[in-house]
Amino acid sequence: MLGNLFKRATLVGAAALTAVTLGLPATAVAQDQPRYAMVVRVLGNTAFELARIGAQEAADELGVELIFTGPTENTAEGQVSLINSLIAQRVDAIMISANDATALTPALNRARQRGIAVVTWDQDTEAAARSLHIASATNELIALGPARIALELAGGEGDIGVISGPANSTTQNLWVEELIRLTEEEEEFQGLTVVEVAYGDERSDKAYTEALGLVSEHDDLEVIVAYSSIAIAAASQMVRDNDLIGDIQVTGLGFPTEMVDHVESGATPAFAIWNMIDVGYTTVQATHDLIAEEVSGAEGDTITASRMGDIMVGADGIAVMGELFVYDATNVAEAADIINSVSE
Amino acid sequence: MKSGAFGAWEVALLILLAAVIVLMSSLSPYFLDLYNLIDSTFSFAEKALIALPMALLIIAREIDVSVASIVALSAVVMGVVAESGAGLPILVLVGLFTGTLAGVLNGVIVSALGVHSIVVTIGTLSLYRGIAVSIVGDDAYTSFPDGWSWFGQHYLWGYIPAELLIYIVATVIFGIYLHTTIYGRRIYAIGTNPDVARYTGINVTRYRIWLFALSGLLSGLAAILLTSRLGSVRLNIATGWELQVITMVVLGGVGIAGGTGTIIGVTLAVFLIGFLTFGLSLINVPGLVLNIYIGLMLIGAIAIPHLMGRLRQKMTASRKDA
Repeated sequence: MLGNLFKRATLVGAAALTAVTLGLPATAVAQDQPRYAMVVRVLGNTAFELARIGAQEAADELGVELIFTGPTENTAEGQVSLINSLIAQRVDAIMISANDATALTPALNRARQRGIAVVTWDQDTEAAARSLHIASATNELIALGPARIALELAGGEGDIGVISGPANSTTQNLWVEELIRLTEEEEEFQGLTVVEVAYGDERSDKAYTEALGLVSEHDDLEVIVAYSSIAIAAASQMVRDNDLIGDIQVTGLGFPTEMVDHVESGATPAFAIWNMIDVGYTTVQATHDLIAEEVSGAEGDTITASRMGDIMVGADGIAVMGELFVYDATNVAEAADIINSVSE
Repeated sequence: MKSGAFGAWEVALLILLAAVIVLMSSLSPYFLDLYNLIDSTFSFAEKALIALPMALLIIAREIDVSVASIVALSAVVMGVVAESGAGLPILVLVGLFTGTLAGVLNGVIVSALGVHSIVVTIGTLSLYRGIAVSIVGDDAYTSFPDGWSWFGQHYLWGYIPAELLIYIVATVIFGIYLHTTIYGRRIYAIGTNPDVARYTGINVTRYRIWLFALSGLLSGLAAILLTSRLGSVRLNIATGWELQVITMVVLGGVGIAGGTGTIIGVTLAVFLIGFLTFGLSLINVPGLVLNIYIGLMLIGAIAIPHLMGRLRQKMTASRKDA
C-alpha cells in the first residue's frame, strides 16, 4: 500500500515538474551581454509597461540585456526579495522605482557592495541607497508644459482660465502657483493673464460646470488650462458640446488614451504629459553611462541620453529629464494605440 | 490518528524538493550556490515561522487567517513605541506581547461564540489591519534603535542569518512538542474528533486559546524579524502573507479536516516553495506565473489524499464482494 502511494506521489511530482518546465519562457542566458534589471513597484501597471518599452529600446541600442521584473503585491518586502534574487544573479545594474523610500536601503546597499550599479527612477529611495535618480520632471517643468502651449494658442497674449483638482491638493496648487508666477514675473509669459482659478475636484461633472462658468463669466477668455487629466477632458467636452471649438481652446495635462477624440475634434489642439517611455529610455541610458564611469552621480555630471539629449545631474544625484512631452493631432492617436496595446 | 513524523507524503515532498533543486540548478548557474541558497531564506523564513503554529491550529481543526494582520499590527505598534525612543528589549517585548494579545483575542472569541475560527479570524483580519492602518496612515515608521537590524540582517559567524537560525530552533521546538509530548498527541486527538477529545478529559477550550496565542506570538516574532530586515513599517506590510502561510502548511500535508500532518512535512514544503520561488526568480519568471504553479501544487496537495481515500474505499469494497 505504502509502495503504491509512494509511486503515485512520485508520478504526480514528476508531472508537476514537467508542467513547471514547459511553462517556462525560453530565457537563454546570454552571459556576454551586460544585464540590467528594471524593477517596477508592482506588475501589471500600464505606466510601467510603457517605461519597459523605452527601456527595451535603449537596451537594444546599447547591446544590453534587459530584465523586467516586479512584485505581484505593491510591498517593500516583495521588492526586497526581488533585489536579493538579482544580487544572486550578479546582474550589472538594478534600476528601480521604489515602493518604499527607506525599506529597500539595506538590500540596495548590499547590491552596491557587490558592485551592482543602483539607479532609481519614477519613485526615489534615500539618496544614500543609490547613485542616481531619474526624475521625469520637476513641479516647475510640469507647470511650464501647458503654459508654453497656452502661450502659443493665445498667440502671445490673452486671458486664460485655470482648472485644477481639489483646492487642497498640494502638488496641483504648486503647478497653478508656478503658472501664475510665470505670467506675472517672466517676460516671455507676460502677455497672458490668469483671470480665474477654478477647482474641478477631480470629478468630471464638477470640472465641466467650472469650465462652463469660466466661459460665461469671462468674455475675453481664450484658453482654458487644466492641471488635471479629468478636468482637461471635461473642459474639452464642454467646448465641443457648446460649439466653442476655435473660440475657446483647451490645454493642460492629459492622457493620450483619453484625449484622442478631443484632439481630433480641435477642442484641445495640444496637451502635455510626462512620457513614461522616455523615462524608461533615459534610465537605461543613464545607467549605461554610470557603469561606463562617464558619470558618477555627482552634481554637474552630464548624462548623454542619446535621443533624449544631454541631461545634467543636479543636487543629491537627481537628474531631471526636462520638459514634458507634447501631444497633438500628429502623434496622439499613435501613442494611444501603444498604450492600449500594453494595457491589454 | 496519524502522528508518525515521516510518512509517504513527506517522502513525496522530499523527492519533489530534490527535483526542484536539480531542475533549478540546470536552469540557472546561480542556483546551486550555498551563499545564494542561504540568502534566499530571507524571503520565506518569517512566513515559515508563522506556518509552525498554523500547522498546529489546522491539525486541531482550527485556522487563523488573521496572521498577516497581526504581523502588521505588531509592526505598527513597535513602530510607534520605537518612535517614542524605547530601547531594544522593550521593543521586542512589545512586538511579542501585541501579537500574543491579538492571538488570545482570536482564541477567546472563537471559544465564546462557538463559531468556526475561519469566520472569526476573517473578521479580525480586517480589524487588526484596520487598527494598524488607522495608526500609521500614509506615514512610515523608520526610527528603530541601534542594533535593531540584528534580527533581520545579521549573519552569525559570517554565514548563517540570525533569522534562519531562529526559524530552525523554532522548528525543532515545535517538532518535539507536537510529535513527542502528550500535548502534541492531544492536539491530534482534538483535530480527529473534538467531542471525543472532550469526553476523554481534554480541556479543548484551553488548548484552542493556547494555540491561537501561539499563532499570535509567532506572528509578533515574525513582525520583529520583518521590521528589522526592512527598517521601515508601512500600512501594506506583510500583505497577502496569510495565504502563503496556509499554502506552506497544506502543501506540507496537514489535512484541512484536522488530525493529520507533521512538522517535517511543513518544513519540506517551506523549502520546496522557497527554493522554487527563488529558482524561478533567478530566471526572472514573473511572480504571477509563480503563483499559478503554487496554486496548482496546492490543488494537487488537497486532491491527492482525497482521491487516494476514494481509491482505498473502492478497493476494500471490491475485496468484500469477492
